[in-house]
Parts: sequence; structure tokens; C-alpha cells
Amino acid sequence: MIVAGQIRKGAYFDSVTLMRVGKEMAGLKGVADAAVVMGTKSNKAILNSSGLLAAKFEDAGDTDLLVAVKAETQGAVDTALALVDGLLKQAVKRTGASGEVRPTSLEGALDMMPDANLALISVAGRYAGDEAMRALKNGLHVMLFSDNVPLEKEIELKRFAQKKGLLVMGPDCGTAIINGVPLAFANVVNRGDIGIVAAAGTGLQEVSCIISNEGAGISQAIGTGGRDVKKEVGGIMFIEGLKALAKDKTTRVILLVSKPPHRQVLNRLTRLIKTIRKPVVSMFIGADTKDGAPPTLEEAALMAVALARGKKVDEVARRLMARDAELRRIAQREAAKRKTGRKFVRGLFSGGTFCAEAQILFSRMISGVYSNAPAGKAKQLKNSLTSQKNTVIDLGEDEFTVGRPHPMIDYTLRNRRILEEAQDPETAVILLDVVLGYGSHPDPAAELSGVIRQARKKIAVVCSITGTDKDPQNRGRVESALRRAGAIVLPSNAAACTLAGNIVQLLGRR
Amino acid sequence: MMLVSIGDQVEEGTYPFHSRFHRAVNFRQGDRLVSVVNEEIGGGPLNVVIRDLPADQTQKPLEISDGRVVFEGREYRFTHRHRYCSTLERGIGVSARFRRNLSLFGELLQTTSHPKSLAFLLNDKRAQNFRSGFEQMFVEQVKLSVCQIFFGDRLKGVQTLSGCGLGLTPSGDDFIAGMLIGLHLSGTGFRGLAEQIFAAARSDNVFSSTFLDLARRGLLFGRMKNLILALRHENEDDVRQCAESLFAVGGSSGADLGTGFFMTLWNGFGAS
Repeated sequence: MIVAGQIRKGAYFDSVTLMRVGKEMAGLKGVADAAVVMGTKSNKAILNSSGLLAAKFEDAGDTDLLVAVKAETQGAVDTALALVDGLLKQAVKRTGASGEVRPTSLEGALDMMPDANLALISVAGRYAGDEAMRALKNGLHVMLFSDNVPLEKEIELKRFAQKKGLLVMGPDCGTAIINGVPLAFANVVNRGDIGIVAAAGTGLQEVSCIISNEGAGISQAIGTGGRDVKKEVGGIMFIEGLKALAKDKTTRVILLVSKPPHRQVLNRLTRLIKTIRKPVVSMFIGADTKDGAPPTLEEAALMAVALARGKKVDEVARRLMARDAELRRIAQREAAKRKTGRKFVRGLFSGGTFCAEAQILFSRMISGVYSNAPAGKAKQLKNSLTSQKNTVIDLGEDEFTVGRPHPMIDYTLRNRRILEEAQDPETAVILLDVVLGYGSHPDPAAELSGVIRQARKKIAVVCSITGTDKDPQNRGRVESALRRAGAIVLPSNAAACTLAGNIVQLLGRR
Repeated sequence: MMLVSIGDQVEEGTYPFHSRFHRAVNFRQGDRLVSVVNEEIGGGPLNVVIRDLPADQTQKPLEISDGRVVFEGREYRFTHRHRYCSTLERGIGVSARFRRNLSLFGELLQTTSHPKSLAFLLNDKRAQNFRSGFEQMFVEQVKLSVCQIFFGDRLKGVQTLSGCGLGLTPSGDDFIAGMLIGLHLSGTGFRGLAEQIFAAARSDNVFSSTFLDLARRGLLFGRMKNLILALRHENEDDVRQCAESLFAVGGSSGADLGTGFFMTLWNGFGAS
């Protein structure tokens, strides 16, 4: 072996840059080892121990940069040393000369963090599937934020992951909380003993926040992407998530949230749930609730909290009945203020799950419900830009988001629509969801307050807030600001929908 | 462009150019450096913080006179209101909050700091992030030195740890600076020991000697000061935030400093 080196005077680099260059040199053909270090006495001792001390390094001082190479041939040594300048420049570029390392590939990221066990992938849908497969092959769980991943690819990924005992959360999975770490659009919630599997993003946010605001906490919250519970995918990850929580020692109660799964998936889930020795609360939005299943996200979350505290779930129903009586009183007050002719609700939602839940709740209270994303008994709107009777709009649908940020981030479109709806002489109530947490708009109150003040002159504005006081926006602050602007703020989407439905019911009886 | 803050240790004078990095331009006076930095780096005892640090490549000296900084030919005015205060009263107290927060900080070092930081001293599994021959020998050398510092000949341990590490401010020096801050906080009874450690760690590296000197005197840069305040008075979320901010300093520098600081206070090094 040949050991050779260079001394560079007055060259200063941070340690990460130097490690990267050393590693790249060591990876060159014929090079056994390499290091690029400052010429301190201690470093020279380490070079000596690792067989990299070139004779000329003895004269180097603390502020000199030493480049050491151990290689099989002189040719390999020369090649490595000739590349140092280029590698240093490249490494400085990559680290932004500031030490902040930004890997440009999955392999680079793994190299930096060999203990990592989860990859969050957010690239264009057509590339996302391949990146996810690469992550799975490296033994990583995957959260696939990207949408537009072909269905066949999703099935392939999930089957492969299942065999390897890994999770694929997504595609189009907007939220998850793993080991207390909120991923993508998620809230800062308490840690605790309630585990969630959800195929509904904002549904997961709603239940996790209600649980946290009640003083309980989340062990894990696993998102699966909405398509997982369809017949084609067969609920592969929903079932794997449920199995994982069943095994998880920190999880005492399991909460499932989804739009109604396909019959075959539901049968599989039912069979599995029977084998689990922990309480499982299932909330399938819009599904039959005759068997005692909770009818709303809020009730499901409160039931999970009650079970985690060893209490009876009947108490939840009693508490919500008392709350609903209070909502009816507020509805009477608001209805009395509305002019004749104002009789419809206009729901403008940023969360798709909330939009669906609103339609399901309205279908039990009022007739003539229309939506751009119909659920339950609601009918398809002819034109998403023009409301008909009671209209519920999902502003997160593609027709509104192509070429612009999601409505949780950019309020422009919704604000415009609020003012338009307020001008409509038939509008009595505007119903809004405000979703806080990472990824959402940093100051929603500032965005909404002005338009609420304007709209409030003619109609009632009812809002729900999904978030916690620990979220970057701070739920309490947002709530106070919206109340000051004149909105009626309620603790859940279900409560907000119930109040809006009550007002419209009363106005319809005039 | 405007001057955001100027460190309380920056004195009047003309400082010749020393070196330039992406977010900092360094000027030398004697055995210490005064740095003009951007807001990302933030306040420090010897930092002049300027919004939108110009990208010019001139090497003109830095001039500081009464209420005036001239940097790369541009003049910036400041008043006493711009002075960054780097000091903090001594004493860690015996509060349960401090102990609880310090414990959390130790966990954060192990879980969220740079993979190649010295946090392997707290969790041996992290040593597997060091793979090449040189890196493995580095790990061994650091372990031996730190073991000596805490359980053997302290000053010999400091001497072998000093200068240990690849970059501009070797990880070993960062660790020692963290120890010195920990000793400063532990009270005036440890001043003598801090002086001995500082003398044993001194080198020709002006970057290291500047921040070791500041650490010995308990003069703190913004992110470290915020962390200590959070450990003393704040809740878990604030500690997390401040730790994250400290870990973002340099490649692994912030975490290396944090490891020395944590081990000094947690192990009761000063008290032994």
C-alpha cells in the first residue's frame, strides 16, 4: 500500500464537507482509505493509528488542511489527489457552505442517516412509485404524500411491503403521526395510548386533535391513503396498520377512520377486529350506525377517549345530547336574526372528509343538498362555481387546486367565495372548516377575519377549528380572533354542521 | 441592508480580513475573530449581524468606531440598542424543571442531532455512523479522551481531545467549549478548573481559540443562550425548539458543543 498526502494552507471547511470528500475519495477505484482533516496534533495521531499518516504531515500545523490517501498503486493515489479540488467545490455546493447537508438521493440520505426507518416521498406522481419501491427495498417504511400514482403501482407497492413487514402510507396520504413525529399536514398532539388507522386525511387530523384537546393522547396515527379501502387494493395497509397497532404495547385503544370500505374489505376487517383484545372504535363516514358505531368523527374520538380512561361510552352520547340542545338554542337566536328569504347553508370546506361528513349530517336534517363531491344523499352540483339550494363544496378537489396551492394553505379562492355567497339573498349560513397544524396556513385568522366581518353583516358564519394549542398557529389564538371577527366557533366539524343544519331547519319552517 | 445587532465584546478598531464563508465574513484581531454574519447565524458576543449579507468578494478591513461599522465599503450605524448581550447569570439551580429539561436535551442529542456528531458518547449505537478507517479511529480517540476527562487525568484527556476532528472547528474543541460553558454555569468554584482546561486546549486555530475563550468566560452566542434559558425556565416544546436550533449550527458543531455541555452538567463532572 502507498500512503501519500497533500498539505493545503489556509483552507477552511466544515467537518461534514470534509467527511463527504474523504468518503468520495475512499470510494475511488484502487483507493483503500482516505481522509481530509485539519492538521492538529490529535488528528495526526488518528491518521497514524489508521495508517494514513504521510511523512510530510509532520510539518503541518493546526490550521493546515491535510489530504491523506492510502491506495494500491501510485496511479490511484495521483488520481485521488487530482480530484480533491473538484470534490471540495462540489461538496461545498451541496452543503451550501453552511454545514446544512441536503442529500440529493435516497442513497445519500441513507448514508447520512443509516438508522432511518421511514422515508417520506413527495415527488411528482409518475416518479413517486419507483422512489417508494426503492425505499421499500432499502427496508424503509414509506409515507407517500404524492398523488397521481397509478392504481396498479399502489397495489404492487403494498403487496411488496406486506411481504417485507413494512408499511406504505399513501399514495395521497396527507397526514400521519409516527412515534410522536407529525408528518406532512399533521397537528402537534399529546402522546398517549390511542392508536389511529385512517384512510381519510382530515378525518385523522380531526380525531387526533379532539383526543388531544380532551387531554388524552395518540400512540401512532397511520394514514393509508383513501384508495386503500377500495376493492382493488383490498385494504392491505389498513389491515396491516390495524395489526401493527394490535401488537403495539403503547396502544390501548384503536380508532379506525375511513369512508365506508368496500364490502370485501369490511368483511376482512370485521374478522380481524374480532381477534383483537383491545377496544376498537370504527368510524366509517356515512356507513350504517345501527350497530352502535359512532355517527361522527367527534363522537368516535370521544368514545376512544372514554375507553382509554376505562369509562363507559354511554357518557359520550349523553354529553353530546346536552351539547346539541345548546346548539338548538343558538340556532333559534341566529335564525331570528335572518331576513325572510335567507334560508340555505353554503359549506366551503378545505378538508374533503369534513365536506363528506357535512353532507351525511345534513342528509338527516335538511333536504336539497348539493355538492361538487357528493356523498350520502347529496346530489351533484351542475356547476361547482354556482351554488344551488344547500350547497357543500370541497375546495380541495382538483377542479379548484390545479395550478394553485391547497385551500388549507391559500385562502384566496375561499375568501372570494365567502363574499360571493354572502351577497346571495338566499344564503343564511356560511359553514367553514379551519385546519391548523404543520403545512397549513401560518395565520388563518388574519386571512379570514376581514371577510368574516364583511359577510357577518348579512348572514351567520359558523366555523370549526381542527387543531391544538400546541400547533404553530395556536388554536386558542385563532379561535379568539375568529370570534372577535363575528364567527360562531365550535369545537368540531360535527358540531358546526349540526348548528348550521339547525338554523336552516328553523328558517325552512317560517 | 441594515445592521441587526452587534456583539457586546466587539470593540472599536480596524480588523483585517481573515476568511469568508457563505453566511459569515471573518476578521482577525490578535488571537480572536470578529465575524460579520447574516441573521441565520444570529447574534453572538463577537458577531455583527447584517440583514442581507452582501455577496461581494472584497477583502477590505472591517472598521468599527463609535456607533459606526464600515463593512465592504458600506457604512452601518448602531446605537446601544443594537448591542447583543451575551452574558447570563451563573448557577443552574437545583430545580426539577432544569433536570427534567436537561434529560430531554440528552435524549434529543441521541435522537435528532447530526449522525456524525459526538452524541455517540451518549449512545454507543451511533458510533456505527462512523465507517471509514479514519472515522473509526476518531471515535476511539474521542472515547478514550472523554473517558480520561471524566474518570482519569482531566488535563491529559483535554489535550488529546483538543483538535480532534476534521473541520474548521474540530469536534473535540466544540465538546470542550460545551464543557467550559457547563462549568461556568456551575458556579465560580469551577473557575480555576475552567482556566486549566482552557490552557490545555489552546491551539493555533484562531476559530477554536476564539470560541474556547468566549466559552470559558461564559459569553454565549444566541442559540446557546436561548437553550440555557429554555432549560431553566421553559417547557418541553421550547427546549425541543432551542435544541433543534443549536443542532443546526455548523456540520455537527452545535451538537458537539451540546454533548460537552450535557455531559458536564449531567454527570456532575464539576462536583467530582
